[in-house]
Amino acid sequence: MAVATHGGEQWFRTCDVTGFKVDVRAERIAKVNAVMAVVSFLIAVIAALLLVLTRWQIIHLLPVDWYYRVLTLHGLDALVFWIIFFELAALVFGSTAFLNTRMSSPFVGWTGTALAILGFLMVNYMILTGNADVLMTSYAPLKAHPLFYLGMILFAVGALLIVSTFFANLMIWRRENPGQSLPLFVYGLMAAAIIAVITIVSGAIIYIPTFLWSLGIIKDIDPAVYKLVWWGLGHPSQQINVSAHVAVWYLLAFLTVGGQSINEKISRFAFILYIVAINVASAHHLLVDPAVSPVWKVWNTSYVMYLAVFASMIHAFAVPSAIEVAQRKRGYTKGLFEWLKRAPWGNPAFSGLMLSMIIFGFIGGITGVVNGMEQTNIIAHNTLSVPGHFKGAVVGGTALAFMSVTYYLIPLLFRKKIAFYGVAKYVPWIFGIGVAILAVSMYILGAFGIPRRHWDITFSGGPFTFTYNPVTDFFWALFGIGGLLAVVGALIWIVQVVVSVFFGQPFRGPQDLQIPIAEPVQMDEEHKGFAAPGTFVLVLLFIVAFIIFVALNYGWLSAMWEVR
Amino acid sequence: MSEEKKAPFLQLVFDDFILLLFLGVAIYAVSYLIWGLIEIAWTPPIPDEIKEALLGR
Ligand code: HEM
Ligand SMILES: [Cu+2]
Repeated sequence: MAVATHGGEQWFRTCDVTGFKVDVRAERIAKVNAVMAVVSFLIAVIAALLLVLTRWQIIHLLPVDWYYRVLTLHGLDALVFWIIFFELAALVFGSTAFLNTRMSSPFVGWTGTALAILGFLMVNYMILTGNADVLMTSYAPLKAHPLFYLGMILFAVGALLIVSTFFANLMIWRRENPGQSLPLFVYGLMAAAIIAVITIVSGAIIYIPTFLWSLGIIKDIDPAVYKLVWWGLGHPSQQINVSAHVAVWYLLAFLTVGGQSINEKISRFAFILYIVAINVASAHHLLVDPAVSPVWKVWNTSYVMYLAVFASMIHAFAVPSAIEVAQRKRGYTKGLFEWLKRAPWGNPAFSGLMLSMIIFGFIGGITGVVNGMEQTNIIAHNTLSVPGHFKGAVVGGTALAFMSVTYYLIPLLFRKKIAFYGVAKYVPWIFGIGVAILAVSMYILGAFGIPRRHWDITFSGGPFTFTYNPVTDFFWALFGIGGLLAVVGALIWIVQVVVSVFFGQPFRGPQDLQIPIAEPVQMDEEHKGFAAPGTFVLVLLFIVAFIIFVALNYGWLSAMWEVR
Repeated sequence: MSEEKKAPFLQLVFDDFILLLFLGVAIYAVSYLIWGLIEIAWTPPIPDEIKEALLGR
């Protein structure tokens, strides 16, 4: 690796593709966190396979204790470790390379990384040895081994240390570039980092007393308080994901077609709405809890939360319109959709970006608003519709966005050629279509009343039995097919990344670039008329789908409790 | 530093990540956390008779 030594800045190398000045000390930290992300993802995907084969009752693979153990494992490795390790890598790399700044404190960065890895190991070990069959949420009074909670605490402290280096890096950049605004991608990461602080502090507030309780030092943990504070961790962490993956969308639009937000100010404003308004939506997890009042519930899940929904709508317009405007500049101006037809679909990062946006918006987003509303929530509460919703949001949205951008990180961060690049263009489709089928079938199964987190829905041997509508058999089959497709897509991606990073050919320079980077398109200062009519039509389509779905849900609700 | 060089007010707010950090934490802490904790604290404990009956003792 060529490291520039002049000017006393011995820790910088200049990227021969992007021209960025890269602090190699930050780069190493980012690499280790990215590798940990992929390791976590592998565990999560193997667990997912076992879960699919267990919930699909005709196979019903795992025994009951292992079902809950593996469900705990899947929840934590997928939702916490895979996603957060990836975000830590992005925060470190984004706040240095993208700003041409140096890493404020490699020591703090490495300490944080080491603590996070230690926490990861402890938590996984405790789960697999049967000492923490408490599911991801570990609701008190369910009790796990103290080392499980300690592991979560160490992971959180490690993550917080890395987040603090992110802010310190921004301050160095601010000092060196007074009066400038952050690039939009880093701005989105900043929103993610702020939400991460909220998340991690909530985590500390809840896990530290729970840890002491598991040691017998504290007598009781109030279950209502536990649930309230835990969701201050559980829900905002999803908003770290949303902010981070929206930031990645903007980055991908730039890398794949050279598109930039047509109104950066509005895009930034939308990130601010996330920061101020989205976290209180944690309350949607407590919508059937007795201790908190309806006023608190409605305030936090609707009035305030809609600001955040509005923010997502802004991004949902901004990213595709950036692509459309860039494509139109290239001359693809025929009709409403030539820009879309002639887009670089063969580039896995582009197809991944598009699928991520579509699945996140149409499946994750629409179902999220309905599940999160106090009124309609009761239809979906604790049914399989809930994981169905977040499969669309966090798997089809976040995970797929992260997988797509990795095709750029392999050459640019790891300096390796992508192994079996020819296969890459199929991966977003296999994974994306799989997840979409999985999410929709889970959502529908939930609508038939099938519970989540349930080992045996035939209730065999129970004091009473229940037979579900036989139509559900069809959706279980779809669930199985979608789940298996998603697992296959994820495994191909993992093999590709691992082979490239550990056994791949070195990336020697621009001549080795397999995945194209588009020429940036000069954006106009002013827009005359409609800059992005195609996107406008797509957004209208989205709004129509949204309204239909909300109306349907109110219809179902009125059928449950007749309104006269 | 001359007056014209100053960035517009909104941009100053947008770029001030410490202010945004403060706003994010404060709104969340008041609207969700503290309010929620107060409501839980105000919930009267379950009367002993009902508790005994539920536990079947
Ligand atoms: C590779 C494809 C994946 C498949 C096939 C899959 C499948 C499943 C299944 C079958 C369940 C069990 C639902 C239940 O029994 O209640 C589940 C739960 C869950 N999944 Fe996945 N999943 C995948 C990827 C992911 C990813 C990438 C994430 C996070 C980013 C994730 C997050 C979760 C969470 C949070 C739960 C709920 C755990 C709980 O209820 O405690 N999954 N998934
Ligand atoms: Cu939530």
